[in-house]
Amino acid sequence: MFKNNFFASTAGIIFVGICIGIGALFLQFSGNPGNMGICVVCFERDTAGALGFHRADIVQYLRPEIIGLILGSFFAAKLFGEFKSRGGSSPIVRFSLGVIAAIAALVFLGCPWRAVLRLAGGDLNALVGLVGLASGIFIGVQFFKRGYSLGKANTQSAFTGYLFPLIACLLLALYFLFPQIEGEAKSGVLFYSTGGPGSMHAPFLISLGIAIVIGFLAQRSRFCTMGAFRDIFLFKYSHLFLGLFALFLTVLLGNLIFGGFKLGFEGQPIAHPDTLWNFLSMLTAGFAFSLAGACPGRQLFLGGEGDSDAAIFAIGVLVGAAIAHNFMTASSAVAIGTYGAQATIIGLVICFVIAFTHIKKGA
Amino acid sequence: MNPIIIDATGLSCPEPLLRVHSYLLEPHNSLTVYVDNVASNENIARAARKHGWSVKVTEIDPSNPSNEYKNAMFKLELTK
Repeated sequence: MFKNNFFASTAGIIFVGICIGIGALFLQFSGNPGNMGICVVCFERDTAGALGFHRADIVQYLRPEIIGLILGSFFAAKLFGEFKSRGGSSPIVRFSLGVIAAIAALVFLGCPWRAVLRLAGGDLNALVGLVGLASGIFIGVQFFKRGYSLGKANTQSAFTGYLFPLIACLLLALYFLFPQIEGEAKSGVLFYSTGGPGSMHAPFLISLGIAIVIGFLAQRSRFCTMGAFRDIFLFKYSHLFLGLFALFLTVLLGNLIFGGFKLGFEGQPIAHPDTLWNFLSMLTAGFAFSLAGACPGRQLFLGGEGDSDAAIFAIGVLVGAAIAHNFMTASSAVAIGTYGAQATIIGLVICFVIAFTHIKKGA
Repeated sequence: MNPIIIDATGLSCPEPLLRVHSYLLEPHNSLTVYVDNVASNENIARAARKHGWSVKVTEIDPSNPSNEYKNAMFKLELTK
């Protein structure tokens, strides 16, 4: 099986990085917000808004990208016999890490995917964020080296593994029952932004289709932005990093060709230039991702292949995104939120407590 | 050198490879690893080959009651 999986090879992961880059560029030029062709945390935040979990009216849209990423991975896992219902490895810890990661990432304004897209668009604040992300992952790696573990997962009833893809299908059904009405802020039970980032989106089916392809390829290749840095720090392996770097180069090239590149700190799309909190928030997010074992994108793919621990992390991100807007911790394009700094520090402290209390002796 | 057996079933990334990795850097001549997912199988096989080990992968049936490592899907036999 290993020999047959082209996507597990070096060429395969680079190919997938290029494909995700092209997909992100296409989505951005089809209407998604600037340097946000695809952003897992931002789009889970918009989804939380669409469902009314928070009421920040500029970030409410049931993003089909999230649904597509889950379903694409589900299809790949079923097709290649990798779908396996599993879970039970410290679920409440994984949920909490998802909440913390989302709150912290929304101080920076982006998950690792968007950090790379922002840098490829010339946004130097993203460089600060990525250094923070790598630093947070580096801290997490130190705990893994000392025996940190959230414990073993078990095989679960088959239906458990199907629940997360099923939730994705239900969200899709909700959209078709209550599609966007031009100029209206609500359609049935769903909220829609009439202005701001939530109102900027590629056509629904294009977003869904591209995300399904990306989800499929990412499941096959195990693409993970957190793993890209972690494997360098932990094992000195650059395999996953090559995929992430290919994504960066593809988007950079696309932006240079199509005029999406603007170098600098100020006036970047949906970004603020607060260096200290761009760094510290992504450090907290990176620490949380590493303790949870995957970036938010990879958590969606794992959830799609039956891993309910990853699904719980993803639902933690959804809840954390809602908290971020309800509690005014999320940043705006001008500055960090009223309580963004406090939330970042509290999240960091909780990550340290989780890390120290899950070191297993003799592991 | 005694053969070493590592049960990495139930663990998620990066723990299966982390448990194996220190052995890969040492001159052990035989290492047997049980994993329960394809990604861990790929990761360990890739790392072992990188460090000059030969890798033999056997698929095992996780539902077979005689499977002594609960839920294991792959047995990796690493030799150097």
